[in-house]
Amino acid sequence: MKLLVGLMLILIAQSAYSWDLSDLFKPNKTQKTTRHLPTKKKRAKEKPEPAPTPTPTPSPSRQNYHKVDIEWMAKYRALEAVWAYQIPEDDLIQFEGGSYYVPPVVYRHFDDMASTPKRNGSRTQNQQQRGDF
Amino acid sequence: MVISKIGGAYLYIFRSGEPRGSVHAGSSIEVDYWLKVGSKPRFISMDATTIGTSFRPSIREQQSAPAHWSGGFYIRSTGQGKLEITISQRLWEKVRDQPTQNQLKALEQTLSREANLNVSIERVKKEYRIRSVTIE
Repeated sequence: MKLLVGLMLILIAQSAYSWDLSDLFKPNKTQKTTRHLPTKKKRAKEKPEPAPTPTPTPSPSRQNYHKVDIEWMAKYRALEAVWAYQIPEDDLIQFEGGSYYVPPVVYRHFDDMASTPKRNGSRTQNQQQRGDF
Repeated sequence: MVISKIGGAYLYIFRSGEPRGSVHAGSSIEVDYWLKVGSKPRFISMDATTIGTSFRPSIREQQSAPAHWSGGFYIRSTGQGKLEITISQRLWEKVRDQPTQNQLKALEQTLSREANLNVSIERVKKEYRIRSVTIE
């Protein structure tokens, strides 16, 4: 009888041990390593500094140029002096073979000045009154 | 007066009044002018594109004028005894009907009131020479 009880105790102890499955479902204890990446700071885009208006470069071909005579050029210069209004494209005017070649902008500038009536409140007279010259 | 320089071409523009003076190119060329400018601007063009940018004429304004001159242009070039000057048909028509003795005076007066001058200049052996003169 004592032997039987002893055996039973042993069995119970073994079964209790064998049924302990808690180890199977233990969470992994592997340490997670987290990499700390350097934080990227958003830099504001630098605005380009305002550049001066580029001087127009003369085109090698005079595709759109107007051929004018010397009398036209004399009148154009006189109008520019009257209006005190020169434009950068004047530098593109070319002279060859007794004729002047002017870009379309200059040609339109001539038309604008010639067709605009001179009035008392014009730019030139205002400048003269202020003593800008 | 307005001065315009494009390449080797100089343009002297007279806008109003009665301008009088002379344009000099080197020591050999002198162009006297006496103009009576009306509503249209008048000009003297000096074309020296064959010479380049080294060409720099000078202009001198004067007050007095010779008594025997009625105006217009007076062109001199030392070393060139004979100059061929072309006067446009439009200008010549205005003086052709005058009596002969008055034609020169009428021509000078017409030039002073209406004409423009184109002078083409070249360089020969370090000296400026007039290649052509056109009055129109």
